[in-house]
Amino acid sequence: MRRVLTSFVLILMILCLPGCWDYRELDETAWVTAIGLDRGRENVLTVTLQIAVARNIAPAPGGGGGGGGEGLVVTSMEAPSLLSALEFTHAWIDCRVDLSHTKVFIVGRELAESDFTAFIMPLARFPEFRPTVGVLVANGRAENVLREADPVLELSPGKLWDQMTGAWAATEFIPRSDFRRVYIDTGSPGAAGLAALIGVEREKEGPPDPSHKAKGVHMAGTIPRRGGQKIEVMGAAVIEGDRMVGVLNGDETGVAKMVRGTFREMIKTVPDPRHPGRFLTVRVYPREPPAVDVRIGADGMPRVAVLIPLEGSILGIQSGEHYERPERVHQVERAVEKSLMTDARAALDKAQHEFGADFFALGYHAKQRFPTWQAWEEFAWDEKFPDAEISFDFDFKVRRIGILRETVLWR
Amino acid sequence: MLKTLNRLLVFREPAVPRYEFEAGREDRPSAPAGGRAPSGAKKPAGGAPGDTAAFEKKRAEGRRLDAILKGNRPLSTSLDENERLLKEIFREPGNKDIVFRPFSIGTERPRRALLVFFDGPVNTDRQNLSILQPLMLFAGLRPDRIPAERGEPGPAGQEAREELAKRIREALLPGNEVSPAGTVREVVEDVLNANTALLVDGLDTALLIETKAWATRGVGTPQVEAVIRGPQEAFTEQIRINITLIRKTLRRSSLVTEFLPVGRISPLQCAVMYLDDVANPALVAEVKRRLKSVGADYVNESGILEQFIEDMPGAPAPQTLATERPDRVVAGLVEGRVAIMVDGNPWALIVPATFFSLMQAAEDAYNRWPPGTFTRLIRYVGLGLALLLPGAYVAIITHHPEFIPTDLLLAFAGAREPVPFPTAVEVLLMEAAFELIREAGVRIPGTVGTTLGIVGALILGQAAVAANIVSPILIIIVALTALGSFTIPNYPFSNTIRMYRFFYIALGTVLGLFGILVGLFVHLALLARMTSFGVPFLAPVAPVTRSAPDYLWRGPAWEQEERPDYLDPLRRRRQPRISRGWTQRRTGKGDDRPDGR
Amino acid sequence: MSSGLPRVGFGEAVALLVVFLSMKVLISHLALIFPLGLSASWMIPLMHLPVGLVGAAVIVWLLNRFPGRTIVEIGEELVGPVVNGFFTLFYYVFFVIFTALILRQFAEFMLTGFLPETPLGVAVPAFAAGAAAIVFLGLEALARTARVLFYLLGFSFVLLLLLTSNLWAPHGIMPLWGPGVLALSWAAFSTLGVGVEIFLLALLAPYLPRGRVLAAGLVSVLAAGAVVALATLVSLLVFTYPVVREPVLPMFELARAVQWGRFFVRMETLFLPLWIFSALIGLAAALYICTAVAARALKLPCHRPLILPTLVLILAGAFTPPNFSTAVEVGFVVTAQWSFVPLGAIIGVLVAAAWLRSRRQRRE
Repeated sequence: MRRVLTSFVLILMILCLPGCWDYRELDETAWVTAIGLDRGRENVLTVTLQIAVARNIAPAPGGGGGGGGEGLVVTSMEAPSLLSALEFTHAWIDCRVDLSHTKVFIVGRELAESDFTAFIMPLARFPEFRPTVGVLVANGRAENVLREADPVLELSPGKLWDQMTGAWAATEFIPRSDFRRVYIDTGSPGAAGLAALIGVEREKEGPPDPSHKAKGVHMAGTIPRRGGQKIEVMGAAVIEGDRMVGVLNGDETGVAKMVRGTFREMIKTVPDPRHPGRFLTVRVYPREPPAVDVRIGADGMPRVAVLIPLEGSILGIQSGEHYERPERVHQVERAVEKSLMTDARAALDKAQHEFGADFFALGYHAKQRFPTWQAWEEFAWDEKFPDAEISFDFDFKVRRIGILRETVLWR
Repeated sequence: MLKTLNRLLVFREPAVPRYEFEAGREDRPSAPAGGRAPSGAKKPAGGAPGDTAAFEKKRAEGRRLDAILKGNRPLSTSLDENERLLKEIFREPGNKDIVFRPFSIGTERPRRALLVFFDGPVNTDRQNLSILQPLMLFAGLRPDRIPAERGEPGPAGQEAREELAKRIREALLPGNEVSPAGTVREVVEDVLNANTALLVDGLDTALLIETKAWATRGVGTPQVEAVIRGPQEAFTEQIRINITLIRKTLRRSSLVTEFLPVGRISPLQCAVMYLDDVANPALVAEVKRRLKSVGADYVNESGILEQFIEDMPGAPAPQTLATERPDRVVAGLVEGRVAIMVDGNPWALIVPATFFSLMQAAEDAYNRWPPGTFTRLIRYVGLGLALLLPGAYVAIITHHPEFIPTDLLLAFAGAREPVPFPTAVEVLLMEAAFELIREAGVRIPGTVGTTLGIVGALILGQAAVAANIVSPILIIIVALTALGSFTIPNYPFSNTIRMYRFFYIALGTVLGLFGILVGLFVHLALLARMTSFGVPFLAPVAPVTRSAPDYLWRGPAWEQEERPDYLDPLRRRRQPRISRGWTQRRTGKGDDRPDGR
Repeated sequence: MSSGLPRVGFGEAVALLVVFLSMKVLISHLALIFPLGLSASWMIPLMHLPVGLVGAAVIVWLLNRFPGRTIVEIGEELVGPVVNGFFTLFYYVFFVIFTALILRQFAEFMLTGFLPETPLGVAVPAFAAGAAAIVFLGLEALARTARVLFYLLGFSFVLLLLLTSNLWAPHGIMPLWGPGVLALSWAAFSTLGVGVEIFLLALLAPYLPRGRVLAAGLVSVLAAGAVVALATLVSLLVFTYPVVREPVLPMFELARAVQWGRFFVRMETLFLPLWIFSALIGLAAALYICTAVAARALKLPCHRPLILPTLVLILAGAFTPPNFSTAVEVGFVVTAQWSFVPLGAIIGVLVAAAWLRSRRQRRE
């Protein structure tokens, strides 16, 4: 036994002799928190790296750190490919660039529309990059987005990105777009990828027009707002095949999420059925996963019926009408369903006629109708999708009414 | 290192160095001339004058006296002869401890007699009142038999001598333990054990009278294995008291205590205790076989004895369970284990020991089972921290930074920024500093003990961080490691674990977690191959044996229905399946008593 | 109390066999199953299961006819030393190649996933050293270590599968029948070699408690089949069919895909013990097969002297494939596709000989 032990220790010591190959100190590494990719100006690509400056984010207690400096460094370079750009950085970044803590990967719209897969998908092979990274499409240049990104509420840029991409669970207008999902959707027949849209705050305000507009008509880069941090996430980019085919606004993204089953929560403002110009505010949750019924007709064309069961609570009734009464909640329910149907029709129209891309991922449901993979591939869902007969149906139930039983004072 | 390397390559045990003074080695040829006493022209510098002659003389004398003791020389009938011999053996003119008290027995025809004892460890009162007084003053009071004639040789004289000895023993000595001895050796050993020898002129048997009064400490509270709930008694340095403590707790007729002397220079009593109707006889026989075969020079601590009797000396864990608590010994005995105690030290050894028994504290069983299990799990967490945390810290920081949450990573990186050392060096520095503090804490005199806390906390903790020598996170790591190592209930095991963590730091530095895991695998394999008195160290997990729920998970006391299978005890069951009899609806009139007693 | 002969309990044997039989899900085995079984790949391990059970039963039947002996001695008894010499040579050569390829793949896994700058010349010997050390310590130590780690491995495996549960997409296993039943059956048949590790049972039998060899074989085959099927199923559910073909280390990719909030991401390091310990146990078991077969064939009382020479062969074999993808492909061809036929044939010959002999004896 002693001999085994000593020989083991000896082997270890021999292993130690040439050195520790992968030994690298934390403070000798540049932690990239976000990568931006654009069509290049002087080369094929412009690669932008956002690097966290640990010294300023979490200064050492022993003094010396100085502190007070910027928590971020953003650097852009022109490079033939993304991974070769990483090596490039050694020229002016004194630490080794590491992607293992990258939170988001932002692609400029111009590049995404011309060539999404060729430049982005090779990352799947790179071990430091993982499938949990968020993939976003910049409404504009990714470089600008990263230059403007600066955490306001947080210290660390990592948390900033986690919070921004994680907002998909709190709202309908941000799709869940981690690399794994986008990759699977673009790689599988029968679905189009959906990447969140990110943009920089608009530069000048729009013309004055104080009429009612649903919030969902906006997308990143056009949100009417002032103040706060400079970047915003809203809406989605649809990626079909090897390129991006178009963008969805907030409401269309919401419908896509409902059909895909990634919808969690939304606040919907719908017109009051009895009082024109007045609105109802409703919080909507999914009740059950969507029921998608796919049938292949005799002519070989698919007929799809989508039923989306929802529930929710009444948040506000501007008119003071007693919709919260048990016998009258159905009026709210119908109003919400009607409003959602309008969004759904718009989204469906975009999917079938404008993009010809199944960003609802209905193909995943259609797949179950086929016994073998060959049959499914031969069916060629992506070609038949634009002509498929698709109907949406929403089933909304009011469950709660907030903390008021009725409103009397406004009458 | 070179030696081991050499052994590895040559596959040959190195020659055992032969020392001159090996106790009891009588058959050895006389020392070579050039050995201890350089002869001839070269005089030893600063040596005593006339060295060689005195040395040889002394050695010859020692050997002669040893031969007398070894050879079982019988006592002579002549008191003078015996006295001369004993004085020689006890080195009387020089040795001031030994007392030869001549007196005469007050029979009609007084007889010369001699008490031999050591001044100090004997009970003077008892000597005065129950030996000297009756023999000197009351010997004539009960002349129930005519004392024999002056012992002349021959059968008649022999008979008369025995008659006299019997009378003295039965009628004249009111002490509770009196035994006759016929050889010089017996007399010498008993006198060494603080008894008194009575030699009577004309008798070739001595009477050995119990007069022990060793200076001992009272029974105190456990210093090392302290508990909150449970008995607060600990063993002392007196084996009799220790056995008493066990007997007090475990009153069972089948509790056997066997004594085996161990050690050549000064044989100390080793007690082997076991329950004769529970412990596997093969185990008891093996323990006794090993103890009997120990040819140690001097064994005064169970820690030394442990090294002589353990299965695998190079193994990465102790193979006996050392404890100072009588209740733990009793718990072990009841399970079917064997306890070994050495006279003169308060640590008993329980064998066989398994990994899980080393990780048990006495208190586990005294708590209700949910907190009992919880504290035990905490202890396993502590074990993991003590062994792996510093190594894993280095490995993760330097090889697997992706595993750290980003915000934490940035905090680590920011804190490390002003530190000039690599992480591995930093960790080694602080772990070494901690080991220094720990060792100093054990060695430091109690009166200056408080300074250590200041040194440890302020200088090494705060100042090292303030001076940017280490990062603050590291202090937490070292502290957690230290806490973890102190939760291991068995002190020798805790020491072993603490030592191995340096291996893991090295492995983690070179190969990251990969190195640590390969090391851990080999470590585990070594543990899995270990045995303690033939019982696999990782039993009952590997090999799987049946056992009550009492290793990782501690079940309630009434679920401890069976003794561990790996001990192969004579009685398997310790409790009936339903040991809470009251939960059963009483059916008949007779109440079924549990069969276990 | 231990006696001279190593003894392996039921639990230890099952732990060792299950880890040995199912460790290949951790490397690239699954990656090559998916192109065969498409979206129905998870059925392939289930289809292997009955064959595995029958195979285990047949081997145990053979072993039970000659209690206390391993397949090497049984072969010598049944077909004579010359023919059996060839058989033994085949076992040895096959398992040396097998060990070498597995070793290479695990080492490559370490380099790909965790230690990109460490040379292969370090990772391979490090694995080999760990495995050799435990084989040196003996079968008992190996089985007991496997048993102790079995809890950890099982827990890690289940945890890994469960942590991905928020990513499961049921459409991943659709269309249900993948390439069609016929193609699926052929895929299952052509990869029957994935179960050849059960050969270990034929060497363990003398040390197992008598009468429980069959149970040990069946339980381990069942458990290993379940493990492989579950791993395949979950990979399909997480990555869905066409994408699941891509990762060269599907289980590792699963660990990388874990995402629960912003804290439980990038968890692959947490599962490193699963990989390293399984690899070491599996490699040690394979190395033990090589050395034990050789020792028994050479009538040596102890397998220890053969560890070093066998290890040299294995290391040479591990360094032979010029790149990772060759190692993966060759590994699959050797271990899964072309191992069943010769080994099955040998076992068949032995079983037939034993059966003939027993019939002759009965007639006499």
